[in-house]
Amino acid sequence: MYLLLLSFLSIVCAVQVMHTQKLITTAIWLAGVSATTAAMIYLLGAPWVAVIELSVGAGLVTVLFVYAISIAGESTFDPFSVVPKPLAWTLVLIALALMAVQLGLPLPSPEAPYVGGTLRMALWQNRVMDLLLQIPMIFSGVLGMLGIMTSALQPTEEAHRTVVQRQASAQIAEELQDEVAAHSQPESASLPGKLAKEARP
Amino acid sequence: MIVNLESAAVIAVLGLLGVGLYGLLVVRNAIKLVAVLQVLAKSAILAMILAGHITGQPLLGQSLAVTIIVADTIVAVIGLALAIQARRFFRSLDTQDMNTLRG
Repeated sequence: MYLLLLSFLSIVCAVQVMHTQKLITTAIWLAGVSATTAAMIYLLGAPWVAVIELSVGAGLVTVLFVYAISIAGESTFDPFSVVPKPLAWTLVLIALALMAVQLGLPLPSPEAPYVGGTLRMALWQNRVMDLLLQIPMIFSGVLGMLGIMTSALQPTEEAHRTVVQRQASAQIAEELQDEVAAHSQPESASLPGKLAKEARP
Repeated sequence: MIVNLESAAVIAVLGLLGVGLYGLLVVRNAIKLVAVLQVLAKSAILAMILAGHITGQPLLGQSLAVTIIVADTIVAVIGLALAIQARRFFRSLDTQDMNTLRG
């Protein structure tokens, strides 16, 4: 019962991540997704993984997002999507249907090498290669971020001109649309006036 | 209607996966795109835990989930750093403005 409630809560939070306008609110809803996922993981019998997910997902990642938003600036623009939404929905539903079919198939269960023991044993004895590979992965992530953040990237004139031109043409298109809408109104707006003139003796 | 543990978890996995896939297709803000990737990763983590629970090998599922958490965090860090640099370079967070290819 609780797991079903948490499932729906996590889906609601995930939908809000996409639909909300402000980026700070997006980060908060993402923390909600992490928290509900951590609770579900705990109910599935993995308390240590739940603690890791809660502290990393709802804590560290949220702080990273707030930091990134404070540097990049709060942005509330919400442009239309390039992929039409009905097409996006269709593709997603097809993918989910294929996943559901896969879930209906019997899962192959390997020879059970990990029966018994604790998570510590499973990580440090049975999956030690995973842990060793995570170390260079973390270092590469840190070095990559340092390299990206400290490189002195200056926008080239050409790239900046392209962005400015696109924004100007979008603005012109919007003004033209407003003008067309304004010109199409005068006839219907003056109709009551015309009827009133004809009605006078 | 009684829903058992595994069914509720499957609903969560498929729901988060669907929302994440839809977001990848529709969202144009670079920082929001990283958030959508995080939602997809949560779905994968939950799927690993569920698979370990169903097959009777919870420790295998949990150890793989820990690996996914680490990888997902690194992806978030690098993605946000790229979004910040793209904001400085292109003066926009719109992924459509970040296309300088001549087609």
